[in-house]
Amino acid sequence: MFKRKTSCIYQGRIIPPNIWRDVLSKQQNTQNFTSAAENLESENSVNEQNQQNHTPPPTPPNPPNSIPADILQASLPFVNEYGWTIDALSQGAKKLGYPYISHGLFPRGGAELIDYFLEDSRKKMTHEILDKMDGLKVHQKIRFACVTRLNLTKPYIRKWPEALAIMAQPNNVPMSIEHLAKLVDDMWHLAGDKSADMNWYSKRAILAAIYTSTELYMTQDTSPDFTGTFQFLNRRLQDSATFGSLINEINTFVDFAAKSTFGILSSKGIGRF
Amino acid sequence: MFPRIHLKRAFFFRQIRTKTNHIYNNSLQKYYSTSLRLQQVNTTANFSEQQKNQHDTSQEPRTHFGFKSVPESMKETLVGQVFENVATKYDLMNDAMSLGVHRLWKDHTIRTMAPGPGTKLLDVAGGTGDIAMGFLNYCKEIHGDTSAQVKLLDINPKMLEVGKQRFSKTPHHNTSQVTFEVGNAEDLSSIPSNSYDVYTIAFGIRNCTHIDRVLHEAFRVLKPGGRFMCLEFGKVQNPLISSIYNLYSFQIIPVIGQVIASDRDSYQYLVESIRQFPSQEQFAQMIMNSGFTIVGDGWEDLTFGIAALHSGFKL
Repeated sequence: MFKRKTSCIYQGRIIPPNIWRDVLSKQQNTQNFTSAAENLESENSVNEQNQQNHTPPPTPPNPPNSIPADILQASLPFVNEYGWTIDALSQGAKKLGYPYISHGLFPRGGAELIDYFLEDSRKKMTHEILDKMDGLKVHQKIRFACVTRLNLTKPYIRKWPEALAIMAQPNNVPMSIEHLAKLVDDMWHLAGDKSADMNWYSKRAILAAIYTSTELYMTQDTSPDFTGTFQFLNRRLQDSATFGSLINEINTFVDFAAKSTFGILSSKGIGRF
Repeated sequence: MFPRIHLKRAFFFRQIRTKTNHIYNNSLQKYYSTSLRLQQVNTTANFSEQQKNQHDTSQEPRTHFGFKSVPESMKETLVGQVFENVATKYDLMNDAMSLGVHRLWKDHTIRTMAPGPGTKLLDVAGGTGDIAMGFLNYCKEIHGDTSAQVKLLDINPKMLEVGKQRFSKTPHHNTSQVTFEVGNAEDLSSIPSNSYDVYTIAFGIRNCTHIDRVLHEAFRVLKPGGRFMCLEFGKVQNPLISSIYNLYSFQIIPVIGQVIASDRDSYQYLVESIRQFPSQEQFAQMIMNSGFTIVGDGWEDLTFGIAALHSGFKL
């Protein structure tokens, strides 16, 4: 059961609430959830001899092999020196003994390195927090997930504005939105969110806004060990708590208004509701 | 296909009636016959050609030379003659025929390759050295690097001579950066295996008799992680542009060849050989079959697919 759920998330589709509800109704209890998660983790560690989680390359070559992913993995340490560029990719390739021009395996250049990094970090975050969530409240879980994910960006934070600029290029926008959607979806899922109404969307939208703004703050943060960033995150999460109740009120009001409008209309004999 | 041709005919006849231009009409008739031949060329050979074949009674496998069918051993000589005839006017003709666009294609190839310091390039069918020159200039201008090396290989000594003369006017002359060699792309036995970073062949593989052997040799000489790049004419998918392109190829290019290089037949061969070359999909499949790894589709269409840049990696 859990595997089906994770596969949904791993494919990064935002599943509409009606389908999601079916999946949730079949899920017996949260205990099942954690045990299945452990199974998944042990399965992964068997599958991957290497402890680092290799994500499949963004554009799978034909026939598929793991070399492009290896090159991407080897390129990440060069990002701080060369930025999110083909130079970093070339250095990674050179480190593995391939010629400089192997960066041609990644036709979108730096964007593919970012793509890989985002996918890889998201998976690392999921693995890191999966078994540490017990006994936390929902907002604590969300905060914990955000902090874990931000810590993974830390090593590259000085070059992160460059990555954001690349992600904002029109042809890369779908990629960056997809990654953000997957990330917040994972965070809410791990926090145990089971909403199956408009909240499903609003929660994810709010978390996406919080996460991106915190990340943006982090790029300009000079405080020791990014304490400023985490304080900023706390304030945004507090804001969202008030904001969330406001949304609830708006939802109730809209619901009430719509129902009474329909009631008035049908009492006048207009439409058959 | 026939209904489509009828449609075109009906469409054009309306115009012709109003214009009553005999020359226009004449050239269109030719164009129809050309496109009809294009349909037939892959299925049936010319009748007189077939008769000749029977007289030859040779058991040797045959290949195409333009729309003609020739014994495999002859193609190399015939292609050699074509390029001997046009060698001195080759660059000028390229500019005239493509209206300068071939420079953009070659420039795009180099930029896609984006070579770094110390890259070793084997430019097969390099001829007059467009790719080699672009490559060395790129390395110098982008990386300030003078350690990149290129070997220019061409089967035709006359073409290579033009390339040598061209390089003699540049700072790369007489350096270790550029070397010339006369050789056949199907048999690179003078070049050790796993020795080059990049293998390029621009508008050359079409003229080879055995494309699979060329690809096999390319795979052999490349280092692991090396890149095979092939710039070659492709098939235009858009029907409107395709019809304009066919008209231009068969009616205008041979005339340009006649005027500039005083050699109509060579350029007739050029446009016919483009039609004979496999489509982008088929060629990408051939690249894959020779052991290369391709990323995505494996090619990039340039100018609506008139040319295509194919890539394969040795992994």
